[in-house]
Amino acid sequence: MSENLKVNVLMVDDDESNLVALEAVLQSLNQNLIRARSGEEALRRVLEKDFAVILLDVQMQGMNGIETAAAIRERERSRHIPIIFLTGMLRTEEMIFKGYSAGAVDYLMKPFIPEVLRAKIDVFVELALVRLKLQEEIEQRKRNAAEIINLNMELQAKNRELQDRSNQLQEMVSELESYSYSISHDMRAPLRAMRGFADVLLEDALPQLSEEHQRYLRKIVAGANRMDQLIRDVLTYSQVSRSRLELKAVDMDGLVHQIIEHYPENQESGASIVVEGKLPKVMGNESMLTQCISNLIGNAIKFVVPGQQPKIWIRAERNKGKVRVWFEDNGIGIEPENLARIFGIFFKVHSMDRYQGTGIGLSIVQKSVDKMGGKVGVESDVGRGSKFWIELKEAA
Amino acid sequence: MKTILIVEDSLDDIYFLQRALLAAEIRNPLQLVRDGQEAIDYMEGRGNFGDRAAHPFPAVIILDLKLPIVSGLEVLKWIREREVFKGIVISVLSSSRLDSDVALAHRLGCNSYMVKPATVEKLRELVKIHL
Repeated sequence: MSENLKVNVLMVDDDESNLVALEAVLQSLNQNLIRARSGEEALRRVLEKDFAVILLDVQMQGMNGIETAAAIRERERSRHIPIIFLTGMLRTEEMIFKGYSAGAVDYLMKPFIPEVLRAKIDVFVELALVRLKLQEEIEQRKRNAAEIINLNMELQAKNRELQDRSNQLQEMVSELESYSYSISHDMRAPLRAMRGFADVLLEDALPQLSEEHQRYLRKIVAGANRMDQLIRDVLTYSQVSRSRLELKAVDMDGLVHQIIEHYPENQESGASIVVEGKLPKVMGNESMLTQCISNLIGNAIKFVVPGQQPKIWIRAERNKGKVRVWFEDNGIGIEPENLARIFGIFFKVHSMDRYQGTGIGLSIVQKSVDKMGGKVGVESDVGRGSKFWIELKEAA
Repeated sequence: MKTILIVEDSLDDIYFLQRALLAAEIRNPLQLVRDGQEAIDYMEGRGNFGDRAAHPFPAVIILDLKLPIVSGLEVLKWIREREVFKGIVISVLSSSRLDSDVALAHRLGCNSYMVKPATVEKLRELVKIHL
């Protein structure tokens, strides 16, 4: 677009033939050539348009060139336009002084040499063109800046929208969570009835039942128990998800020993559990940690080759203000392809027939540790055992 | 023999509780109300419960938490706020294992907290300590 830009050149002379001659010389510059036949007409033209340069005859009828130049200089709009005087007179000192003080930038004597005239005018045309281009660039930059501001505002609006949406979703999620919590809770009542009445039949009506029917009844009880465990785990999981907790220093050593002593399944299984050294204090929540540790120990006891004595080693590593507690077992281990998924909710490696479980225990561990600002992980050798770890901040 | 007041809305749970009490050989007379407001009316001897011979003052209350009209926790609070009911043993029997429910019930002054279903051992323990 700037290639097609043209600027205006004003030629002022009261002699038509002079104007024609000027035009002939300047045609090849390929700019807009505007004629004025008097000083007054020249003043009107500079009011209408911007000019790159004005060629001004000094000797004119009425308003002469010097007066015209002075008038052009007085006006704000035309003050900056360069003026070249054309004069047939000898250059007297006084004349030149007057001319320069009226705003002339140059003089050309008539008869002028076409190449010289054209070269001088060309300089001013180029200057004006550069100025125009600059102006255009500035305009473009202003437009760009405006566009950026616009885009920024749009982005901010989008951001706000997203924030609102995310808040809404957050609300929906917590609503759903409390909904699923109360549903899970309510599911336990009919389940308790099923389990309770099955127990009543087992206690009161066993002699009347065939062996096959007794087996069915026991299956009902086992199913109800499994369902109860499942609901309980879901409740625990959603409770962990919903809770906002304060972290406190927890005596890991005392807690682990207490869990080992008090959990009946630990005793029944005949498991050997060794705590190596004294475990450091960590920042956490005691009831969540209790849940995590008993889930990890429970798994270590559960997932062994049938008939084998479960062995568990618990030890801690300190590193840069963090404590990593390892739970190592001699169990069946986990295939490498399952390692990444083992903490996912409802993920189970084994069928119900071989190892009972709801597939939520490790999800609870992960969620809890996550809530306490820590990490969980596992390493495993199939057939040799697994090493689970949880990592939390060390308490000061 | 001292009366036990059962506050429970679920017929199934009432049946299971009665069976467990029987199995635990607890033969104290039982009184039954089905919601929180009835429990309060019973304690105040209001309306249907005006006759103290037919509806004796209980020594032990077995209280469900999830009750219609007035919740078990509110009943617990209401009783513990009244000097005249001092010394009454209140055992919560709830399906909720929530730490927050257990903690709140204890803060409001229950003597024990049992998770449903009530076992023979727990009931024996309750009676042995308090009756």
